[in-house]
Amino acid sequence: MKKSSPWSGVLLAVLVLSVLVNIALCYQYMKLVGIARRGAVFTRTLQEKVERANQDRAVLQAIAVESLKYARTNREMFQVVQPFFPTFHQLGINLNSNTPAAGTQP
Amino acid sequence: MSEAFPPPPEANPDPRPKPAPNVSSGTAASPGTPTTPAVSEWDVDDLKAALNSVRQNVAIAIVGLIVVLASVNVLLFHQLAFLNTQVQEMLRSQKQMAGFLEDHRTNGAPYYVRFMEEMDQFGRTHPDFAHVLARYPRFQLPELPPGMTRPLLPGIDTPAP
Repeated sequence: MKKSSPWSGVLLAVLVLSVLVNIALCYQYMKLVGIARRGAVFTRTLQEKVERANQDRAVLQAIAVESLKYARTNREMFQVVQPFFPTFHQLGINLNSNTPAAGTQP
Repeated sequence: MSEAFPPPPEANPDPRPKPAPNVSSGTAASPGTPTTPAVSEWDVDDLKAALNSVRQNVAIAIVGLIVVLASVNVLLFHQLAFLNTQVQEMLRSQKQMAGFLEDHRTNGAPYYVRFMEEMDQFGRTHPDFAHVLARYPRFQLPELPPGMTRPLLPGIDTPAP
């Protein structure tokens, strides 16, 4: 009786190895898909918060510009706004125009 | 009439099945045991050929499976690399946004609220400025939790460092 070829054993070993690699890759893939799905929800929440923060910043900048305009004719207003000048500078609020400061969106 | 027909075959009194014929030793028949037809060389060659054919088919099937699995593995590997890049990018973006929000919460928002309070207070005594203020929406900052005191703002509540 002819014995089975040694190649058949090698082929079976390669097949089993391929199946194991395939299972491992599928597991990793499903894990990453889960992370990406959860991360997408969290990213959307963060984006909404960042959008709100940018809106607040734009409102603050607009009010600061209005108060400066008002302070040209009202010294009392100038005294109220003056302490905030370093803060505006520190926060990057541009008091020269009504446009929102660039680079606020991370 | 009865002499014209051969006698009917005797019924087998033993209902047990007969043992399978020995294929490998078809010529060894001892006297007293029923003789079985010998397997011819042609049948053995046919069986060997069929066995070889089955072996070849199984080998081809295994090789095909290996090729398909290898292709799927390569595809999955590329997809994993792509997805991993995207996830890393997303995590970096989340970190950046969280940093921005934390900076906004600790450095920006208290000043925003304080500035608006000052403006509201000023608007109470100057109605023309109150009209200007009314054109803008209020901030959407979250309220401070109960029991938490508002921090003193350097440069406004305290002298600048």
